[in-house]
Amino acid sequence: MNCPSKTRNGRLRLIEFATGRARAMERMELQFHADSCPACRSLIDEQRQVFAALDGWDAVAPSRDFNRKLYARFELEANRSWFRRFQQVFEHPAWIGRSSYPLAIAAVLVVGFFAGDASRFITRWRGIVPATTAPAAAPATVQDPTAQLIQALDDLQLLDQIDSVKHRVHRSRTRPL
Amino acid sequence: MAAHALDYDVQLMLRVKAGDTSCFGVLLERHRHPVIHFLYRMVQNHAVAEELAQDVFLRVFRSRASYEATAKFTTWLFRIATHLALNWLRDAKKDRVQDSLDAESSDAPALQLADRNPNVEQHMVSGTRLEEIRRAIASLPEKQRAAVLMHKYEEMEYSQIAKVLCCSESAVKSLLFRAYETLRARLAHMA
Ligand SMILES: [Zn+2]
Repeated sequence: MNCPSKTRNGRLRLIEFATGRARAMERMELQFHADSCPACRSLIDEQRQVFAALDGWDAVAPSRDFNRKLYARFELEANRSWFRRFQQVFEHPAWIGRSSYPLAIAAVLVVGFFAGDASRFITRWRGIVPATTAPAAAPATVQDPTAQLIQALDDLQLLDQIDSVKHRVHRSRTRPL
Repeated sequence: MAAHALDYDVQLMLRVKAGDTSCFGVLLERHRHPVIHFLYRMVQNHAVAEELAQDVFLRVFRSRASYEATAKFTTWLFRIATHLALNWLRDAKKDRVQDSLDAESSDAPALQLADRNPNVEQHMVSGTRLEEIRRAIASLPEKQRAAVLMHKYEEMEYSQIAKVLCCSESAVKSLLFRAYETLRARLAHMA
């Protein structure tokens, strides 16, 4: 066998040998060679020292609220996409300003509510929200109309908040330096 | 990773694609640690690593509809993770985080070349030594760093690393060869 330490591929074979992941035949062959070759033995020893050093570098554990933060981002993203769809609906009529969205939605809701079928109306309206917002969450249960209305009003508040944030961002971008 | 484990990941992802989002939680639990560890060792900042890991899983979930089981799930996962890490590292070159790391490097005490104790593992508790290892990894060019981390800690084959880095196996061998030459030169004194 030619001395593997003399070539790039040979040195890589010695590195694999040092990881302990080399195949059995390869392992035997290299061990046999290294027993009588100081250069290869030295490279293997050094490489093992490097691996031992790297083994001592433990990565820190994920923070406890990693999943909670991730699912919050899912939720936010789902709300954003839902908001964007609403935005597209209202973008065309020029007479409706962006700040009018909550008012417009509230008006639609009130009409639907007084039409006498609030429960079905709100359920249908909330059906716009994608069902995949929280992957590990339990399936949604049917709520009573009051709870749904409270939820709808919460969503309106969220829309309002998003709207005001967008305005703030817009103002800060257009503000002269 | 064993063949049956690979199949399991792909099956889980295909079920996520079909709408069974609870399977995403299982994939998250299975791969959260390795992804965060890889990103932490790439960017060497825990908060950034977690943020990037969240981006990885967000992208996986967003891409569920177009997912095709053409490769190992972990190949796809680490391709996304590596892409995000490399982008962050490029952006961070001008950033304060990177500047402070560089400052730490220049302010650090000189390497203890006289210390020739052969039992390296006994000394891994030493913060100075860990700092040296961390700096040795950080000194590697980014692609070499990614290749070494996947080879050493994820025990990936050259072929899988090549797929993650979107390059040839020969290029991976070249990256690993140069990276380990550097690491031996920098860390050999620890023996
Ligand atoms: Zn030899």
